[in-house]
Amino acid sequence: MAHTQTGTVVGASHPSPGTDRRLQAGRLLAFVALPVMLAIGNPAVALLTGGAIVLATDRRLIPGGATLSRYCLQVAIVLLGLRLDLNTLWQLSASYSWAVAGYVLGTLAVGLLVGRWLAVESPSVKLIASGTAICGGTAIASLSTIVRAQPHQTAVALAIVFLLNVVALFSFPALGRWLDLSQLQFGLWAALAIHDTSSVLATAALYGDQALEVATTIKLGRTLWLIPLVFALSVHEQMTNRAATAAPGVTMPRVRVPGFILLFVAAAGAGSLLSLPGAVIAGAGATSKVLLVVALFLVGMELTRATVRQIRGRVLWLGLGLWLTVVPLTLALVLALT
Amino acid sequence: MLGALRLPVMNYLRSFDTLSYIALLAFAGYLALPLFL
Repeated sequence: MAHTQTGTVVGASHPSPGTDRRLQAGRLLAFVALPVMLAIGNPAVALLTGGAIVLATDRRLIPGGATLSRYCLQVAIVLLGLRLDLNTLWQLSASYSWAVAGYVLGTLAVGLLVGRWLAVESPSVKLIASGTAICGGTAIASLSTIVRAQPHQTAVALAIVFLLNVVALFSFPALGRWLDLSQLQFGLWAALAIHDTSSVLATAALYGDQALEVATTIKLGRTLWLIPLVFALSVHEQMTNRAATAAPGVTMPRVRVPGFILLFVAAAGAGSLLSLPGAVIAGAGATSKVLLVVALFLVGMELTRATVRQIRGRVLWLGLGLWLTVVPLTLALVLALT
Repeated sequence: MLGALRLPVMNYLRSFDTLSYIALLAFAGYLALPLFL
């Protein structure tokens, strides 16, 4: 799926004056809807509204929307860091880092085994297993070049993760209240069981401020697992495709700590050491929630009709089956740990 | 098994820059956090 600069979907029906009007109408709708979403302040509704506008118009309405939503989310995370003190961050990370390790390794193992059993193509299995275990779309985007995934395999994996994020966003808060989970329990559960950081934060924000702080801290620790995964998959690819990796011009992917995670830790340090005024911390919290709504609205606008059509087949059963397995297991793990 | 891993691991490590080593250290530090609790 590709889009031109003007937002016309390549491969869709032939553009006509009518389709241009559709693009303009979509942009007008988005322009009107965004302030309404900010007033409502519910990231789940923002995600659904963004998706509905794009599906209705079948146009990429905001060029560079994916990048913009990523920056909004990262700034929101860093601002959330100001609300946390370094001691809480340390205690939470230390208390649950091995639980995160068990979850990541267990999910990867089950995903790879079930994918092989379902005879799903190897790159798709690796993308779905990594996306479920670590960080949804971020993991899929980071690993797709390493596992030599075809564009359609990456698009399908991203589409499935998107779908499951939406399901989680609407079901988790209701389930949490029904099960009478504490803020800590819900934050932990969301951080482990939901794919993307944006959806983890949005779901936790719907449950409460403390759940949001717990979920952010634990989820960022889970994101760090991308580092050994990139390492392991790169080495594995070298072993299995020596000719391809030794070819001139082929560079191995580098492992990196995402910069916003370092900034989040630095913000928590600043919040703890500088004794910031209450108004600054409250302002940072409010701004991060606004940015979260904008980010989810833009994430919703990344959905396309073509993406929805791709959600099918054995890869869907793998992604869905793996997620429906980990959701109750992570809940049981959280209840056992807290 | 370990012998077969050695060469690709060493090859990959040779391509590392300072930030890559910092990333590995950060991850190792994260895993080691419970030891300091």
